[in-house]
Amino acid sequence: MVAFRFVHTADWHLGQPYRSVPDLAERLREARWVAVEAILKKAEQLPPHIVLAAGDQFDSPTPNPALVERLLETVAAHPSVTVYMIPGNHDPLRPRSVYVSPAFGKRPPNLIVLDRPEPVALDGSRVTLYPCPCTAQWGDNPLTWIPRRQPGQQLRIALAHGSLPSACQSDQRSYPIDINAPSRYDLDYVALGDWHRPTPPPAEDAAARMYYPGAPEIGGWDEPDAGQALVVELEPGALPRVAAFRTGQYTWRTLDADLADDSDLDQLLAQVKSSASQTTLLRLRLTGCLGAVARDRLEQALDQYAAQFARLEPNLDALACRSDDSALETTDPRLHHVFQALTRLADDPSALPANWPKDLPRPDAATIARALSFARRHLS
Amino acid sequence: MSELYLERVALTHFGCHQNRSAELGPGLNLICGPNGAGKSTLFQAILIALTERHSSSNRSLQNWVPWGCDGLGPTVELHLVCGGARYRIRKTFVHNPACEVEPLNGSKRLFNKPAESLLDSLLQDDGAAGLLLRALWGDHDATALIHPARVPSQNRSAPAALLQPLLDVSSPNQPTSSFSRLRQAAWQAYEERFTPGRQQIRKGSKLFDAAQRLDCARQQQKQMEDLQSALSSALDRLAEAQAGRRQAEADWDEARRAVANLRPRAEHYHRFQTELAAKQSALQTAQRDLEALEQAEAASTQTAEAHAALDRAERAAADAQRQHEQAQSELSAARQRHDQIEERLGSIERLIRRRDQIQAAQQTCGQRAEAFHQAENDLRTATDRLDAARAAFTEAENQLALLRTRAAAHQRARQRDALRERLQTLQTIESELARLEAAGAKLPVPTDQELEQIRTCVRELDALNQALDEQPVAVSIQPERPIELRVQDASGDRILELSERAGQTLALGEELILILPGFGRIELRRTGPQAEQRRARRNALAQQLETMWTGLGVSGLPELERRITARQQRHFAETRRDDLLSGETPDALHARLAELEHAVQEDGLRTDPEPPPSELAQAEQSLKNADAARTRADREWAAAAERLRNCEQELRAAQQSLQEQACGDPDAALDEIRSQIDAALADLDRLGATIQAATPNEITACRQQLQSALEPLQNRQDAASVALNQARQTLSEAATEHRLRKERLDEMLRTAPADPVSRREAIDRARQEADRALRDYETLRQTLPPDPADELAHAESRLNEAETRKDQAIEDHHAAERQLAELQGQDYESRRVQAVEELAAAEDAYQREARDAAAWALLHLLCQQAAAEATRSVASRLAALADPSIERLTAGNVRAIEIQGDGLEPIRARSRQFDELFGVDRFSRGTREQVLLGCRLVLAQLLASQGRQLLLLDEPLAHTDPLRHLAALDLLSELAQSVQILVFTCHPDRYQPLRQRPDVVAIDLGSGIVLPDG
Repeated sequence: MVAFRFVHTADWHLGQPYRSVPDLAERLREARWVAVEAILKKAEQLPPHIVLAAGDQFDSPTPNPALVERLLETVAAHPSVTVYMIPGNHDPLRPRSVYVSPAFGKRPPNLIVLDRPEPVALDGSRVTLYPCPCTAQWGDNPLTWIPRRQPGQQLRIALAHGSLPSACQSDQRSYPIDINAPSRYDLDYVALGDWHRPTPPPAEDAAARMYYPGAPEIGGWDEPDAGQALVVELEPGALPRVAAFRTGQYTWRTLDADLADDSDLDQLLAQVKSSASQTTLLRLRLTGCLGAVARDRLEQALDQYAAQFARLEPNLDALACRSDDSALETTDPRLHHVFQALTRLADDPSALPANWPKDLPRPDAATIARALSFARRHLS
Repeated sequence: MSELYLERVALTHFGCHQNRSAELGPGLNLICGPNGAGKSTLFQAILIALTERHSSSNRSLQNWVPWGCDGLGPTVELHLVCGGARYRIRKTFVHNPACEVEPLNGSKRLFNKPAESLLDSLLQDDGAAGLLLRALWGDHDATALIHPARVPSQNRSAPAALLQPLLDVSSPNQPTSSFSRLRQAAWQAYEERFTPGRQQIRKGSKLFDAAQRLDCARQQQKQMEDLQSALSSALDRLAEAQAGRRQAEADWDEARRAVANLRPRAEHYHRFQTELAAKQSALQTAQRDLEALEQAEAASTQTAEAHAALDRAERAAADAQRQHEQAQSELSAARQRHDQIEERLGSIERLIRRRDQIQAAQQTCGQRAEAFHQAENDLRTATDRLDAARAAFTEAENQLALLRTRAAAHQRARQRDALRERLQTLQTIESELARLEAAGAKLPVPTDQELEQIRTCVRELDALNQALDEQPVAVSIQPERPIELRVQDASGDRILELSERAGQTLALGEELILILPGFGRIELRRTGPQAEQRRARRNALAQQLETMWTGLGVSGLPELERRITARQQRHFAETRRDDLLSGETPDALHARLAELEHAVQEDGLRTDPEPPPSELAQAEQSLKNADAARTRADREWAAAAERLRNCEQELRAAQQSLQEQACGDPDAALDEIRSQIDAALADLDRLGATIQAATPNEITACRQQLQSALEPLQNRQDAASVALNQARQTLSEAATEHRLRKERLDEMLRTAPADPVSRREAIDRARQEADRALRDYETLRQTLPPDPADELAHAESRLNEAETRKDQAIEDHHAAERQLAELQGQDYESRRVQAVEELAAAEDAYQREARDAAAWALLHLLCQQAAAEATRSVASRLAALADPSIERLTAGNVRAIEIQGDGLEPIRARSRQFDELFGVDRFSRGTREQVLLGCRLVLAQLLASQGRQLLLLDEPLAHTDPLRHLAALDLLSELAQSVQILVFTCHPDRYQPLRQRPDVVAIDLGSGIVLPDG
């Protein structure tokens, strides 16, 4: 018997705002369309060309009509592929929601919205799909309606949007999914959506029957391993074979480093340089303490590398600045006084000069480092 | 700091110096001179040339305008050695100001602005160095070397900063510009972002813009959140409306189905109901037949009973008739006796009433007569009062007339006096008019326009005459001829000797010719083409005016002005005369005066005083009071007369009434009444009704006795009547009942068998028929289904309500949809995304800007701290350097000093005697000037460490004693090795030891001669 293959995806979040990187927002939103295109292309290669999208296709229940129109056009451009999607908690099926809007009424025949909990036969009735659409932002376990296995049923797949207990708060109703759902409801596969990170990662846990594929494009610093979808192969009586494939364009990377001297700095800069790419967003979280000269070198180098990244976001707030000897190479007692005062202020924030402007917060380590940097640049 | 000193100074038209120059030596120069010789002027000239721009508007520069020759600018020329090169600097102030700097190496000369710029660069006048140099040239009387007010705020410690490398021998080449650059940059960055006073964010700065942007973004985000909640609410409402609509539609369907189910049941029920009604009708017919037969049977029995009752009633009626007749005869006898007694009693009552009336009329007559007599007395009293009031009124009237006559006489006298005065005024005005007419008030005058033209011509003529008088003098000199002195008159005909015109002015056209032997001839005359034109114009104007004067008949403008004035005065006098006459003629006024004179004479009241208004008013008031009293008395008399008339009428009416009552004599009438009463009493005795006296009470008691005797008879007769009527009624009823029964029986026997046996059989048959019909009806009624009408009505009502609810729900649903569409139609999603990202970007930008601003603020404040610290350090070290010199200058009086930072001001000094620091102002004037001189000398020495500098000292030791003076001279000599010192003094003797020295240049302004060395 030929295995049943399909593409499992979720959480496209088309039209999502990028709060953390507003300047890149447009590019990143565009990248999500590329990811959707990649999913559809992948499905074209896998008979019977089915895509199961497990909710949150849109970031809001009432997206811009232009987004809707573009999605319909994108799906219509791949007529051999049939896309089955359920509404998620971001785009729930409510009155006036996108799935009942007039624009969505013009959807192509290969785009099927499963808007009610009714079994759907796939692949000539050998597969039964149990869709669990969301009708509100919050809800209870969506799988409870799934009936017992009927005699003669081969493959049973649930398509649902919700959270596993580890992420559920006890007092919230975020569509909790039973961790034992496959066995409890006698399902061969549970195609989940909601979590943006792939869970479990197929490479780490190949014996599961329930997966989150994650978002097809990374949406923030907290989902660095997103940007993929799953190809699932099912055969009666066997564990599913699940493999991830890359759909995202951008890499979001956070580099934590503790700097103590110039050698650490060299190592860090080498790392930064090696990861430079126009599709990489790199966040540096630096701790430790550097001399003023080294810090200058760091800042100048980062300024220089910034153009090689989609975004280079150094966070030096926790990187203390030390007034090293080279910074104090002056016989002018006034300059000496300024540097000494800055150093003292770093150690003792109470040594703030009088007449500190009312509308400014007290200077932190980053501010003091910035002042040192300004001073050095003007003196050099 | 490169060298800077003077080689030469020259003044032209500068204060008291017309032309003064001096060559200066590179060392010590003594400029001596007595008071007023111009030492301070020379000192100030050097200072001004070096520190003031030629174009300066400083008013103090006016002080240096040359004395005695106005219009020339004070000019200073300096020969300056600076940085190894020599320059000639020439500056002129106030009049035609100019600046010229000429490098004496042959380079191009610069003028004015470029020249000032070059000079600035030579003097390093960029703020700091320039300030220090000025300290060496500054006002000797100042307490501080540098006035703090002259130091720019951003460069507050600059002098100290400039001194620092000079003081710090360990790092003499340390660039000071690094700190200055940093401080300047920090200050500028701080100033761009914050207000200096309140340390608040400056409007328009990047930081302010970032904060504004952040605020805007937050507001926008808030709006989007509000919109989001509105959308959520709208969605909830829509969901509710949709659910409500579904529920309402389901309810409506259910109600519709219920109505549809109930309607067939209702029709079935109606059919059943019709059949039951037919059964009920049959039952009722059978029951009616049975009832008719039973009623016929009952009627037969009832007719027999009625016949028996009729016989009993006839017997009872006959008995009642007999008893009634007997009672009626007894009652008639009793009533006859009662009527006779009642007649007698009525007669007695009438007689008693008449007797009482006659007696009452007699009493009324007496009362009325008494009232009449009282009214007669009242009338007499009122008549007396009225006579007295009339006399008082006549007296008051006479008194008032007398007073009014006196007042009118006095008023006429006053009118006469006023008229006399008015006639005198008229006479005065007439004389004034005659005078004005003589002054030409009636002669013609020009119009206002013509007059203005005349005045313009006269003014122009006067101006021309004055201009001709002030004509400048033309000078013509013919030398090499014998010179005489004489004056030629305007016509040129006469030559006057000069002595004849001594003390006089030169008239127009005259010439003053000075002939100076051996020199030549000088002619002075006041003429020229312009003067000739003026003269021609003057003559034309004079001619024109002369024609006018002739036409008007006046000699000139003053006479014309007088004529115009007289004309105006005449008009004024005529107006006043018309006002006084007020439309009357003087003759009429005189006639009126004569009448008044005659009347006054007749009055003859010249000696009588005029009654005061109060007396007149009092008399008028008395007259009014008397009039009021008279009126009151009049009213009282009329009232008394009216009362008398009324009493008389009442008395007559009472007497007439008595006559009518008694029908003649009252006493006779009373006797007749008494006899009639006695006769009536005797009749009563005869009838058996005795009364004791003829009084109303006795009569009433007698009547009550009669009535009580009559009542039992009346009762018995009434009871007999009632019994008779009852018997008759019973008889009538029994007859009627019997008749009705008989008729009914006859009626029934028409349909029912008359035979009682046959009738009973018919009754049995009818009863069986009715029982059968009843059974049929009951059987059908028990199978009747319940009536569905109420249920149907209820269902229909529910259907109507459900339909209404459904319509409302549909409407609500549409409204919710419209509201949601409206909210979503605002491109909500794009705006939401944009707002979120804009807020993030604004927060990021603000954070960056705030961090930069904080960093710059930190640097700025720390630089301020560092500069202040450095200033204190420099001041301290300068003081330490100055201490030995000051100790020498003060001969040990002061051992150490403290210098304040900003102005390098010596503020405290340590006294040797008390070994304690005191404020400098507590020391003597001599000590103070020695302390300040010491500071300046040390400053000069420091500055001269990189090149000779110029030090100006204007009387630096004015209050110093000879001992300390010598010490100061030693110090000056030592310093002169590296500093050019210019000492200005009016005590050359005190500097005599120095004048002996070969390297000292002494300049005596008293002679203006530069003394050679030695």
